[in-house]
Amino acid sequence: MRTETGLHAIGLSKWFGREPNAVRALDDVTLEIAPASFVIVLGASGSGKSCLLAAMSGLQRPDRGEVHFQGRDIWARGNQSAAAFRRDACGFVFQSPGLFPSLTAWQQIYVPLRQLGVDRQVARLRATEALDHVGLSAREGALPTQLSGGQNQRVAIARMLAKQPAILFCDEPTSALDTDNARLIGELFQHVVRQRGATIVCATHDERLIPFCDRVITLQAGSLIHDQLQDPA
Amino acid sequence: MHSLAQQQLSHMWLRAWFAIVTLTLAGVVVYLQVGLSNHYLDRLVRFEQQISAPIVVVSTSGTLLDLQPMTPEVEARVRASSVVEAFEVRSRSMVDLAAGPTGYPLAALAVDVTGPGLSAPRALSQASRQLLVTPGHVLLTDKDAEMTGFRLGDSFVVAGHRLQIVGRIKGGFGRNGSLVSQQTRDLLVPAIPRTEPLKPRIILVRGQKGQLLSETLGRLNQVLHLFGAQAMSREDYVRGLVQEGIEQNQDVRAYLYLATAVGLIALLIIAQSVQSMIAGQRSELATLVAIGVTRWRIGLIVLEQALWLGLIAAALAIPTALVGQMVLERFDVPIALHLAQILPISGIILVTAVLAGLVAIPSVLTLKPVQLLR
Repeated sequence: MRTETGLHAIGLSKWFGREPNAVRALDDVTLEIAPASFVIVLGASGSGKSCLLAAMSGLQRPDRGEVHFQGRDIWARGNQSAAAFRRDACGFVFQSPGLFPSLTAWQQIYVPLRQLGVDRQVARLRATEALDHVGLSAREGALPTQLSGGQNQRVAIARMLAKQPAILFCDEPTSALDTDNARLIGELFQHVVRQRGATIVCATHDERLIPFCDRVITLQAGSLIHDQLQDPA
Repeated sequence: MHSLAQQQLSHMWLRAWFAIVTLTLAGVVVYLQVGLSNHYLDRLVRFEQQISAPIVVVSTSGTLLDLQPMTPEVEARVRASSVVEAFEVRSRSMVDLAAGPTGYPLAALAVDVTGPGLSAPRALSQASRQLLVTPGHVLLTDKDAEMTGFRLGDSFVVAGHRLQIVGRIKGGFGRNGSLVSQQTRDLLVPAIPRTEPLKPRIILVRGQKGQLLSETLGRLNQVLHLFGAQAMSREDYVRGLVQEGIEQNQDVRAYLYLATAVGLIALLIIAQSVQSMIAGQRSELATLVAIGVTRWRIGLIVLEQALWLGLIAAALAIPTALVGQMVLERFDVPIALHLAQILPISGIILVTAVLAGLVAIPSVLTLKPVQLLR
């Protein structure tokens, strides 16, 4: 597990459409994410938090600015270097867990690892460990339809943990979950940061996660308007 | 553990079955079209396919279906060639016999069983050849027995000569595939007064033992080309006849065009089905892209799904086509489906499925994981 992330966004801007009707989704955002921290990006719908996440994670190229990871610009060679960054350093948890309906909880973790070229034995071990980590060992043979929304989201998180990413990018991971499940996810994220030394960047408008994070960044109309360190519970 | 492609297919069974049924039906149509074409083409080359001679000499003018007579020099060159061990000159092979009890006329192929036996079918046993040696003996095929009503031991008179059914032959000889010897034919065909001998239309040849076929053909053709003739292998001759048969017979051409059209339509439908299957697992596949699984690996998953569709369809198409053949035969539709053609047609079904997968691959390229962000 890497402990140094060194993720640095410098002057990120992104706009959609053409002038004079262009919508500026990100406006010159600069921020540095410390290693082994749980950072929440808050903001109303359309504030640019998903856009920031996309640019920082290598999913969507910003129109201006750079994203550096361990001193290197992840967009230096366009999509190719961004894809390599995603493959080598990133995990993703989306609002929808994106689980294959035909695979069991254990297979949801094992199959992507194999697709990434991880050795069969290593993949087996990591899948079992990751499922244990999210407290779902007993449900390893369950299909997504046999699990609750919260459990499915935990499987999706386990799938990413098994990949052992340096940074876990999450987009509204709890917005479809009830309070208990949201708390469970918050605790899980906190545990991942403390025990595994991973960095979590989570875009959300769900304030239930704030008690578990180290830092809250607030966006409004594409601009960073607030940046506050937290004292997690 | 099953692969991701297999598990996803079993999950999307309704979409998968739609594709499989479409592909199976297309395969069955292709099988039956080929079977209908076979009926005509088999009749065309039934004798030529079975002759013992490995080499056939024909005129270079005209077509194989409408052979022109060769000059006596050709026969003389073949006779004089040091690469030829034996040859048989043929100008006429079919001989009309008599109508059977059902009223259907019996015609027979005249073959040589006393000389080098180059025109005798390869599958004809030594015992059957011996039966034919006696002039007036006829070997009856199962199909001719069924059509004409003749039975073993029946006798009849043709042109003042008594002929007798002395044996039955099985296998692919089919209708009008019954056999008589050339001596029997010579008895029946009255001598035609002519000033010069009948010119050969085909010469069957066997090369010297231990000599390569290609070498014999090369040496023969060096000479025969000068006299407007060419030597070719039996297989090339049959292939040429089939090719000309396809070109000249409108029904066969129509069957093959139809089979091709059905194959193309099936390809488009399956491609659509595979695309729809990709659409059904878009967010899951996009998640894989997001975490760094390469698109070619995802393409392989899609191709594997298509391959499984093809395998299942190919397996289902065989029994379905055989049932279809039985049904058509019950309604007296002439159809002949050969076991040897099953593998290539199954291969076509598989290739169609894989092509459909390839056609659907571009939709993998449009997977955008950024769209998973809210």
